Amino acid sequence: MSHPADAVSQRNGQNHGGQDHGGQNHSGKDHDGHHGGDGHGAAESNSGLRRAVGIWGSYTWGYADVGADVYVALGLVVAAAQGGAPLAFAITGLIYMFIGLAYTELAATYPVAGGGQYYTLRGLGDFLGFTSGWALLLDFTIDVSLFALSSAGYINFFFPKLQHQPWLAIEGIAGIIFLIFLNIRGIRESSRMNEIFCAVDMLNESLIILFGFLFAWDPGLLQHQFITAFPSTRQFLYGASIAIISFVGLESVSQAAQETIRPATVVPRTSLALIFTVLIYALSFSVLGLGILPWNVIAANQGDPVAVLAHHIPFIGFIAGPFTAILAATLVFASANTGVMGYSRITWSMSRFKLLPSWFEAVHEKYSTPHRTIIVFSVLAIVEVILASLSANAYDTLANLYAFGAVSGYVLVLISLVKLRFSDPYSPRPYKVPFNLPVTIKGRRVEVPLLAFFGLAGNIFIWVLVVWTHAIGRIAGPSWLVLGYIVYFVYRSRAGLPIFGSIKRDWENDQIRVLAEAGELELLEQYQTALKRRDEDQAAAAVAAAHRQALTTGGK
Amino acid sequence: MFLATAAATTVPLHTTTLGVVLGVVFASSVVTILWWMMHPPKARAIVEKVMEGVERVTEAGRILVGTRGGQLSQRLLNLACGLAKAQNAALTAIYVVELPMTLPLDAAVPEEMRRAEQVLAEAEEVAQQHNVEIKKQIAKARKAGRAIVDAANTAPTQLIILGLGERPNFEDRIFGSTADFVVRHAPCDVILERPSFVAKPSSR
Repeated sequence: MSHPADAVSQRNGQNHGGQDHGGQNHSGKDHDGHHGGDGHGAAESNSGLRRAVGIWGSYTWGYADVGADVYVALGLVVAAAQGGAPLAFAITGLIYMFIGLAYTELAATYPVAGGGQYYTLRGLGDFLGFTSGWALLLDFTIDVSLFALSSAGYINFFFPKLQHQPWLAIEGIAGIIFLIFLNIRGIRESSRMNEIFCAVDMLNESLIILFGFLFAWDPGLLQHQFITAFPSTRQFLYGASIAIISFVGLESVSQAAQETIRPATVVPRTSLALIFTVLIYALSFSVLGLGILPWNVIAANQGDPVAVLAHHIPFIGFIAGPFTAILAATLVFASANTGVMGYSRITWSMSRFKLLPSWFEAVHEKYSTPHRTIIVFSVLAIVEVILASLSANAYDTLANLYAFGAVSGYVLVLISLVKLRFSDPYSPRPYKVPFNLPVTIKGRRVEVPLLAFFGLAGNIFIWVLVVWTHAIGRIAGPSWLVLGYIVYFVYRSRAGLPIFGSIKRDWENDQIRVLAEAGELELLEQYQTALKRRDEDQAAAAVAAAHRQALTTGGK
Repeated sequence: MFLATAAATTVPLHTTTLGVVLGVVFASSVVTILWWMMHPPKARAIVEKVMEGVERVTEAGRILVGTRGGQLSQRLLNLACGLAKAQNAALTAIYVVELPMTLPLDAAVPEEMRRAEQVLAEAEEVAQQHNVEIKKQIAKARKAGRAIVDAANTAPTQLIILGLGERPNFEDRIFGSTADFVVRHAPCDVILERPSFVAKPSSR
């Protein structure tokens, strides 16, 4: 199950090139296929997108990605942070809120697909844009391997004898091969199905939490475990850094922004709602879990922790357990598919911005899908599954890398948020991260987002934790970046493009086009007025300077 | 068998005040957040209408363009071809032969029909320049407006493009008889293109 727009987005890869309009829905009769794609190349005249994602669609787009994280993270975090797991979730959740707010502002300001990679490219230039994109690529491949493995874990809820290696790896690899087939063929689910599926999942999760708190939760057990089973500081920090994976996937709402109706109004709402609901679910599950079961029971079931928890709830447990296992296996598998979609989009986007060779842009002759990207990175995901399955705990190994990629990307996005406030103060911001410090620089008033600095500090802290406490993250994460830089240096050198510098792009016209396509006419007017005022000010300043120069010359 | 063993694994029933409070806080906060999310402020009415119009116009599946030859028709066709090409929409050019009440509707009017064919052939040339397929349609009717609305109803049409060929004769007409009728009775959006004449400044 994929994000509904994704397969079409891949088709848009062609459409931007002006080769094929066949994949587009022009009639407006079918609202199931959204139009996606990156469409933000400054040189492009028209991305041909139809905005068809509504409020619930935008929310569920993100939920299908982030909502699945807790199914994987709960067991891993409890295993690491033990009785302190709720606190680990709370600390990371706070940092995640700062990141979420930054994403909300950026997605509402720049409603284009591309997410963090686009913001970094725009804010910090080509080299760091590449770094961000490459880190996210790592995340997307890990997303595929970790969630395919996790899906196998939930399937094995019904086959407990298979809940270990090599069976988990075999099932996970089979799942990835299935995803390759699905995505090369360009098969996609309908957006309606995605919306219904997420609604069912939310209802199920809510019922588990509600019934759990009402009929099974024992605050004494939670307190007891918090006091007696609190881990060592290093172990706790390790758990906190793993907990960040419960909140990975904010990229999705920003990617959906390009296809969302009235993005300036809708995206901030859905994004904020997603941040807080996911946070509530993650905190609730950790508090509930340790108030119902001993931490080691949850830790022992890292393949299917939520299903095991649901299975112990009075009244509904007998059905909630198996039902949650099926639902989780599907949702988590859907999330794995978003990873395939994610790297398809991001490599295509990076190729268009000349950050990666155009080899990745090629689409399949028959199915019009980016088959090269799908195959290369899916094979990489399979390799990751195999290597992870050789380690003591495959889930934990993959989570290490997942955390490294996510936090690296988030750090750059937060810096971009601050930088763009200075370098692009003219783009209207329908939503602004709260608590800003107004400063005047060269006669221009800029609001500095203070929370971004807290988020940055928190993220750097988590990043240090990942590197410090995760043996695999420490080696494999930076190695991935080094590999990326080699690819980047070789490609840019051969293409005669600057390596540390940036290619000149017309971001202003790009922004005008994006706002016009979004139907955000008021914002467009605001933007054009702001640009006009800037031009007038600059012209007036130039005239004044020339006048002063003339006076000086005349005086002499 | 699985369900029977599963039932036995549930923990004993245990209800606490704090648990009830947390359950209620959890449920109410999720419901409140989702309710808030689903109820965004409405766009200002006029902006919303414009946005809806833009959305519909850019999603047209079939475009009908009224043509009578001449410079204005060329401009209409250029506009229609541009929109049709961008959206991959079907394009139909219609020429209405208006027959006076003194003639039956099936009366032979060879001169008018030749003129219609010539105008539509010109329309086809314009479409070819844009690399757009065009369907030609000649309709006989008492009033052009009625014929255009009927054509839009017969084959579901999302957009009609018309020119303002005449000045309004009566005070209750805004655009002219044909455009006025189409705007009032069309089942879809209508784009009106004004003639390129420049109004003479008032003598006052």
